[in-house]
Amino acid sequence: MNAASRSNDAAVIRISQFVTLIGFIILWEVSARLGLSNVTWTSSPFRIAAEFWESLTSGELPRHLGVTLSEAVAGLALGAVVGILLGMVLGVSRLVGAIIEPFIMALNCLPRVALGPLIVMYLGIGFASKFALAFSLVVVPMMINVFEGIRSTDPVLVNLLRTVGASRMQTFFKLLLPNCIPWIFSALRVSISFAMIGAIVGEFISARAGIGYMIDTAAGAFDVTAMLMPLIVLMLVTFTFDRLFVMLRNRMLHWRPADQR
Amino acid sequence: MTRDKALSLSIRGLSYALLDRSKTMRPILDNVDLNVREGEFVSVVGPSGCGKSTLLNFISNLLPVQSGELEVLGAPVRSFNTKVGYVFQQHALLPWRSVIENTELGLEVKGESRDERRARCRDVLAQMGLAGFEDHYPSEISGGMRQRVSLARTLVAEPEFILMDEPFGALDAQTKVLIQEIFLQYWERHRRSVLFVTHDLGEAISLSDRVVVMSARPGRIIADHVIDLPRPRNGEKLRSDPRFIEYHDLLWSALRDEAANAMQVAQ
Repeated sequence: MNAASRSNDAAVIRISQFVTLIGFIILWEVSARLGLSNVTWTSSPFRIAAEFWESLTSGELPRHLGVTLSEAVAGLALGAVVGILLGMVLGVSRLVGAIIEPFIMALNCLPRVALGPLIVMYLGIGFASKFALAFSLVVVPMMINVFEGIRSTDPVLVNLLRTVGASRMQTFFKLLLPNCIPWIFSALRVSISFAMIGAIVGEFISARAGIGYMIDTAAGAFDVTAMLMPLIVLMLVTFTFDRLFVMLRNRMLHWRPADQR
Repeated sequence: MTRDKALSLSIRGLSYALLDRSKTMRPILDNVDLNVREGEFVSVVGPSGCGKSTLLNFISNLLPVQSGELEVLGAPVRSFNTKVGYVFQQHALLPWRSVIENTELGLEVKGESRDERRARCRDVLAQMGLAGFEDHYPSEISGGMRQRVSLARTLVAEPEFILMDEPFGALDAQTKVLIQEIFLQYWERHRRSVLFVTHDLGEAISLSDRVVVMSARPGRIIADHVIDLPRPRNGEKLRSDPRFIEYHDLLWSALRDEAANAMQVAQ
């Protein structure tokens, strides 16, 4: 395929996406206005936008969003760091890795959001419990990915490093670590939404602020518009994070063919 | 055997056996004797699975010796020796490193300064016909170029003894001939000791001073012929030389029964 037809494809994709989005919003709005759908159940884009504006200008939305994001980002950051370090220790030490492997896999099979009530019981209804829940959702997949990334190292490359006289440290920094960078990136990408899930679920269980709290409160008031608005905001924020992350990853993994990043 | 020059490699009675799936010891190498003199280019040919590559793993210290004696560059093998270079069957390039960063790996591990190693790498890459590709990544260049980078990586460290495990085996026929030419020219200028493993008889004859034939598993040395063809050699002309054909027939007669055996074992 030549460059011209590829950029042509890209334009077709962008336009189709734009039309789909606008079409969906218009359809939703029109059906609400014509009474085809019941706004009590499904609200309407206009109502959600108005709700958004009101909440934004009153400072409510920024405050709740700030709470949720700080929980999620803190959980993501610590979960990623701890997960990467644990994964490396397990990957590098064959013995420790072999001993602990079934425990990690069992932990991975645990639906960790179900830990929520227990964590809230231990840590209270403030920041700590949401942070801990986000952390617990992030740390295990990070650890497993790094572990797999290190174990997937091509044995021929390990032999190469040995034959050029590399020490264990050199082998780690020149081979094992760079080899698991793509694995770290793919784990980080799913972890962004895991961290958000952790924070929101924590807020559902018990909280005084946050997007999850906003949704829960609106549900109590049977206000679909006020439930959908923070949900959509959170989706857009997380989506933006994901896009920024993909851009960063593509820069860092420029040595890989585009379809393997 | 004459000892007019120092030995780069001396193997006496090397045997090796592995436990197979049914938990019985299966011999892989059987009492191998082999010398490589300093500056000599020796090829080992043999049917697939005969333990040729295993032999290189002992010499490079990737495998510990089970029984027999092994001296490399005048000393028993106890650790990885950076004076011994190893060119793998696969190009074994690190995909996140550019061509020049891959080439400098060995020098980097040794702790040589960046400017020094870059200059040396550029020089060797140019000799391999890779000038202008220094900053490309392995995924951006052809298989033949990758294998030349792999060669450059080994050669730039100026090893005294080079082990090569079917380095051109995975290349298409035309690329293979071109890379053999490049390598042959390099070798004829520098004359390092080489132990070259291949299953391609023509390749072995056109490159080597001596060709050793190994039997089907368990590998033994069953023939050892000096290739008395003048250097510098030209691979293409050589192949129509009557002496080349004579050597080919001679070595093939030693090899063919073994190849047939190996096929039966495999079936």
